[in-house]
Order: sequence, then C-alpha cells, then structure tokens
Amino acid sequence: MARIIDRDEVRRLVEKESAQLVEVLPKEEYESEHIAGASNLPLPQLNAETAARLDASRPVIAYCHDFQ
Amino acid sequence: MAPRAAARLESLGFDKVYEYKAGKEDWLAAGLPSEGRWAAEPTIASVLRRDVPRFGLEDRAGPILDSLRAGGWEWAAIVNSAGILLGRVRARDITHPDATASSLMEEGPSTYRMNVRLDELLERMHDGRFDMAFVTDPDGRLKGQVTRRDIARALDAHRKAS
Repeated sequence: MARIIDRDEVRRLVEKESAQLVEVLPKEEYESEHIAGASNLPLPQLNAETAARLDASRPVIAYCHDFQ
Repeated sequence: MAPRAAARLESLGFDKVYEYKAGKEDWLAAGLPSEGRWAAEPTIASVLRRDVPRFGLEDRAGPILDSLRAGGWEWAAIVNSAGILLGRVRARDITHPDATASSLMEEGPSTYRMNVRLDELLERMHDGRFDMAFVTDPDGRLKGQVTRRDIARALDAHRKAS
C-alpha cells in the first residue's frame, strides 16, 4: 500500500530521490494549474500504456486536489 | 482519487509509490512553485510582506509599539513558539507599555493562503471593509501580511503589462 506523505516529504523525495510527481486529475484541471514539474495521468486513463511514460526505478508521488 | 491512482500504479508494477494526501491545494496554499494557465495570475505571494512585526503572548506592549512605529505598521502579529498565528495587536490600542500582548490581543483574525488571487482578495477587502490581512500556511504558521494598497498597485501593474 502506498505510503502517505506530507509536503515536506514530497519536496525531499523530489530533490533527493528524483521522485516523479503525477497529478491524477482531469487534463483541464492539470492545465489550469499544477505542481511545478508534475506530469498528468488522469485516473480513468491510468493503465499500463500511459504509465509506461514513468520511470519505474524512481519513486512516484500521486496527488489530486486535496483529501479526496 | 489519489489513493486509487496509487493502488493502480502498484498493481502495474511500480514499487515506490507515495500518496501526497493533502494534494495540490496544500502545495499551492504554501506558495510553492506551480505551472499552468493560472500560475501566471498574481497571487498573495507576490505582494507578501514577510517582515511583519511578530511577538509572543507575554511580550510587553512598549516594545511592540516601538516596533510598529519604527516600521510604519498598524498591526503586530502574535504567534506561539512554533510561529502559529494566535492573534493581533493594534498600535492604537496600546496605552500602557507594561501590558502584555495577550491582554491586548484580538484573537483569531481571518487569514489567507499564499495562492489566493489578488483580484479575489481585493474584492473581499472591499466587501468586508478591511485593508490588511495576515497570511498563513496550511498549518497556521504566519508567513506575513498583505495590504490593500500593495494589492491594488500590483494589480494595476499586472493589467498594464498584459
């Protein structure tokens, strides 16, 4: 099960372990505003093909708007 | 949504998956970097005055007033040892230098986050008839203060530039 992390840990993982941030909200919301450096993989389209753009050897941090 | 996305990533073979539960709202409210269409809109972060005078509950009114006068401030922030905003003290309410901040403090002022757009806050200031606001992060820690005058100037400059 994925570990829940806070903002400070997100920053640490991105800076120290080259973690990949993934916004799982729809494209329109992502294009409005997203965390700098994040990519967009909307949950309904998240499958083996779309996830292939991520580097499986690096940490992946999934996020949406807030506590949903 | 993020928990399901994280679970799906794990099912696809990713073994270092994390969930940032507080999400985008938390990140933006902390004034951290963002990208996208709205990212170029001026927010509180662009006019934040970080050097707002801040004192503890037991600090005396005399030094508070001196600090306010020296910097031309109307309000001082009262914070705890972790920097969490507890209240505010107004210069004109200070009459005795030995009074404590806690005895003069207005508790629980409204606060705003760094990602609030300036046009939105200006409208709220107009409707609510206030000229300054304290800014905190999502954990309640004081980040600074914004004034109506600075906001109006910044919006004017933004409109002229765009």
